[in-house]
Formats: sequence, structure tokens, C-alpha cells
Amino acid sequence: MTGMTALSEAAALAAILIVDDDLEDVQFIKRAFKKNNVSNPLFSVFSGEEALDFLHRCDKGNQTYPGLILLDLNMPGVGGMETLRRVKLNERWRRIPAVIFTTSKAEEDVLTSYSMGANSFISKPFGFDGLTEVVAQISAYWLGVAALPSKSTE
Amino acid sequence: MVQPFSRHYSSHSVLIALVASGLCGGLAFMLLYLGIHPAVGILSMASMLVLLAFAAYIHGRVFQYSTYLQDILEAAPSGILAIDQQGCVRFANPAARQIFEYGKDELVGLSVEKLIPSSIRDKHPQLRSSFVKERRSRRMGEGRDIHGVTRSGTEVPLEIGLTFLSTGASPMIIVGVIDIRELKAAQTTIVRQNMNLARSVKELEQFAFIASHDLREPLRKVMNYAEIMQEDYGNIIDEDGRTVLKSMSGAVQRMERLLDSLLNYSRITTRAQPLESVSMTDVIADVVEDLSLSISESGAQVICSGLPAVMGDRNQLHQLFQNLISNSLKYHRDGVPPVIRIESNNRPAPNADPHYVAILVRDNGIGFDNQYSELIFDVFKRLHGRDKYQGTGMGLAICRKIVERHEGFIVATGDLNAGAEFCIWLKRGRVK
Repeated sequence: MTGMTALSEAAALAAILIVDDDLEDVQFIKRAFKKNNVSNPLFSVFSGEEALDFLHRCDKGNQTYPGLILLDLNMPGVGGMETLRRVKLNERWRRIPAVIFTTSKAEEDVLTSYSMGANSFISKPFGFDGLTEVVAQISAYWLGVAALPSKSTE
Repeated sequence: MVQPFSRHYSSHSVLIALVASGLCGGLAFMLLYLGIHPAVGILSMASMLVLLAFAAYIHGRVFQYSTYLQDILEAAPSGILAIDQQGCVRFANPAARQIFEYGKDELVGLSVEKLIPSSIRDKHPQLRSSFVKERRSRRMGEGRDIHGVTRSGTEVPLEIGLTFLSTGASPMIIVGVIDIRELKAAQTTIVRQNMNLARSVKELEQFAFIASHDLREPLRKVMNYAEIMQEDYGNIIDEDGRTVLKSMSGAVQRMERLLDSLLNYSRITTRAQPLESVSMTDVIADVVEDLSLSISESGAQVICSGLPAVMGDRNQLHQLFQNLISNSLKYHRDGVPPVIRIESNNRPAPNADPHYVAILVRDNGIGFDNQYSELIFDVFKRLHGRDKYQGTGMGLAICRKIVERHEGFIVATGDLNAGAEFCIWLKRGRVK
């Protein structure tokens, strides 16, 4: 599925950007969203660099800004933490909810993530049943209940 | 020319006797020549003979004694040098010659500066004269590392002792020399081996951490696939297939717990906090609160009294006693509610250090055969089948690692079907 077709199919729904260097994890996450009948377009990139490129394309109007970023921490190159820092320092990007979704449970990662402006920190559960439940909670909250204030209301 | 030491000394007393007997002989000859009463002359002659005999005797004794001393010096296992005030070597025993690689009589007459490394050769005469002035001995092992130079120019690590000898005509500096090449080499080896050991311990810890951390990833995926399989394809697979899948998930979960406990085990050293004075009463109170559900479920009684403060990492002490108390709850006898006693006493530590205090955890559970009292602390060691008691076999291994990290001791004593006792020695904390 290419980005453009996904976008045209569900133009009204905010897109979800999955940033994870692990292809299998990306597939699990997409599957879990599908299982929860979340029809928002899903984009996936495999590195921090690609995530930032994606957002730059949004700046140019070639892409719609995602409504949620799911960000893995442990990635080669520009890691999750640095990506998070750059997203939250950017005027145009900082309002996009960024949820850290990682295997790490280390307290220092949790604290650093929040200090960098992460909107949530969730450890990847062990097993697909757990993943499905977590994804259900993420979509219910970040795509449903919560919306970060838009630029105009600030 | 330099005189050999011993002859120099032994000649003194013999000389006196010879001079006296010579005088007597001369007197006797003069008296006889002058024709004075021959008896007087004969008496003088006799005195001369007696004195000559005495001289011969003394000479013999002195010679014997000096040879004896010479033999001792020659046989001495460490090098001995005598240096005069001008820095000239006056005596060197074979051990000294061997250290400096000189032949017989080759050292004697040399300047001692020839045996000193070039780096301090220039200032050595000054050191020597100040030593002579102060006349203070230098003990072996005192001061910094010393090197000597052999005939071939090799610098050799030496241990040097210096004493000042002021008897006799010219004062001497007596130098004791020990070749410590082998000692130094052994020292270097020990230092290197210690470093290697420290490194392998660290590597092993890193290995445990990385292994358990990185092995989790593929395992998590196997778990995901297994659950997707059960959920999305469960209706296609028959009952038997579903059972197989369920068993697979179970095995994966077990492996996850094993890896998790291995990770915890490696974190005892990698995530260690500095030791501080910790109240054991507080620690046990926290643990009992954490375990309150399983304590009330099993109808257990936890009795603790008079616990001291110890030097510890509070989180690790919490884990230590949580593991021990959990074990006591888990391994209770059927129909006998667990009674767990936690107390302190003065049982001497295995190293007999009075700074350690003993804390005992005793229960009335199933106990264990005391022949396993060491084995139970091994990594992944279990005495019972998984069907009867759950667990990874890491609980007591973690306990021991925590105690070792605290430089303490843990000893288990089992009484099969009667109970178990764990005695932990930790360093006493400061009294607040």
C-alpha cells in the first residue's frame, strides 16, 4: 500500500506515522491497528532520518501532517530520542502527539523521553494479544479523546 | 692496592704476639751475649718460645675465625658489598658478583657508581656522602624502586639495604643486595592477571545483559506469531493443533521469564547503587507489605524482631529478602501454615570479622536435603519439578549475587520436611 492511496482512501482521518527499524514490529503494529478496526492511514518509516524527511515533505505540502507518531527508541543513525527532540523543537511539528513505543523499560529512557516532550511512553508488550490491547488504548486516546491544541488556539 | 678484608683484620693480634716474642728473643740473645747469668738468658729464651707458641695459637684461632666469617659471607644467598668512603668497592661476595655479572675479583676496586643507572649516576656521589655524614641505615623495602646496572649494561630491579660500619681503620658502607627481577615479574603477572580477571567478569556481566536483552527480541516475535496464529487461524487448526500452539506460547513465556531473571541477575552489578546505612526493620516491613496478599492467602505468620541497620543498597536488600520470604511462602508444607522468623544474632561471620552482623530467615516449610545447601544458589538451579513449584531457579542465585555485591555471606541450612534457615551476614550500619 503506498502512502498516496492510503491518503486518498481515508482523507478525513489523521494519519499515523510508525517509526521503527524493525520490519516485523511494523507489521505487528499495523496488524494490531487493523485488528482494532482503526482505518486511519498508516505510514511507516525505518529510521529517524526518514521520519524527519517525511515531516519535511509535510512542510512542503507534499504530504499531510500525521495525527500521531509512534516512535521506537533504539534505531541506528538518528535514534528515537534525537528524532523526538527535533520534532518537539520544531514549531510546525511539536503539536503532533509523539508516543514512544519501545521494548525498553529502563527508567532513564522513560524520564528522558518525557523531558524531551514525549506525550506518552509505552513499552511494547510481550505477545500479540497485549499489543492489540495497547494499540486499542493508543488509538482510543490519541485519535479519539485527546487532541493537542492547534496553532491558531495558542 | 686493596687488601682482602679478612687478612687485614686477622693480622692484628698475631702481630702483637710476634713483636712481643721478637723482643723477648732479642733480650735473651743480648743477655746471653753480654754474659749475664745464663739462667736469665734461658728464661728470656723460654719466654720467647712461649710467646711464639702463643702467637701461633692466636694466629690459628683468628685465622680459623676469619675463614669462618669469610665462608659465611661467601655463602650468603644475598649480595653483600662493602664500599669505602671514596665509593670504591672493597669487598663483594659471590652473590653480589652474580647479580652484577662480574667475575672473581673483578668487582673489587671498581667505583660503585659503575653499578648505578646512568639516570642517577651523577648525583649518586652526593647521596653517598650525605649518607656517610648522617650514618643512618636504610632498611630493605624502604623508599622507592631501585635499579642496578650489570656489566652488560642491563638495568636490574634490586632491593637494597645499607648500614654503616665504623669499626676498623676506614669506615665502610655495607650494602645488602637482593635481585628482585623474578619478584617484579611475578608482580607484573599478578597485576595483569587481575586486570584480565576484572575484564572477564565485566564481559560476562555484559554478556548476560546483552544476551538476555537481545534474545528477548526474537522471542517476543515468536510470541506474537504464536498468538496471531491462535487468534486468526485457530478455527482452521484442529483441537490438537491449538493445544500445540498453546504449549508453544507457554514455553516462550517461560523463556521470557528466564531471560528476565537473567537480566535482573546481571543488573545486580550493572545497576548497583552505593551502599548506605539501611534499617533492616524498614526493609522487612516494606517486603511484608509487598507480599501481603500471598502472606494472607497462605495464612502465613511473619515474625521479626530486633533487626539492626546494615550497610546496603536498599533496593537490592529489598529484593534479597523478598526472594527469601517468597521462597518460605512458596515451599510450605501441605496443611501447615508458614511461620517465618526473621531475627538477628551474634553468630560470627565466616571471616570472623566483628563488623558483620547475622540476619536469619527461618521457616517451617518443606526444607531441603542439606547436601544441596550450596547447589541451591546456582544459576537456574531447581530442586523440584516445574509442575509442583513454579519459578525460574534464579531467586537464590540473585540472593547470593546481592550478598556478594555487599561483600557479605549467605549460608543455607536445610532440614528436609522441617524447614530451612538462611543466614546472611552483612556489614553493620551506622546507628542513627
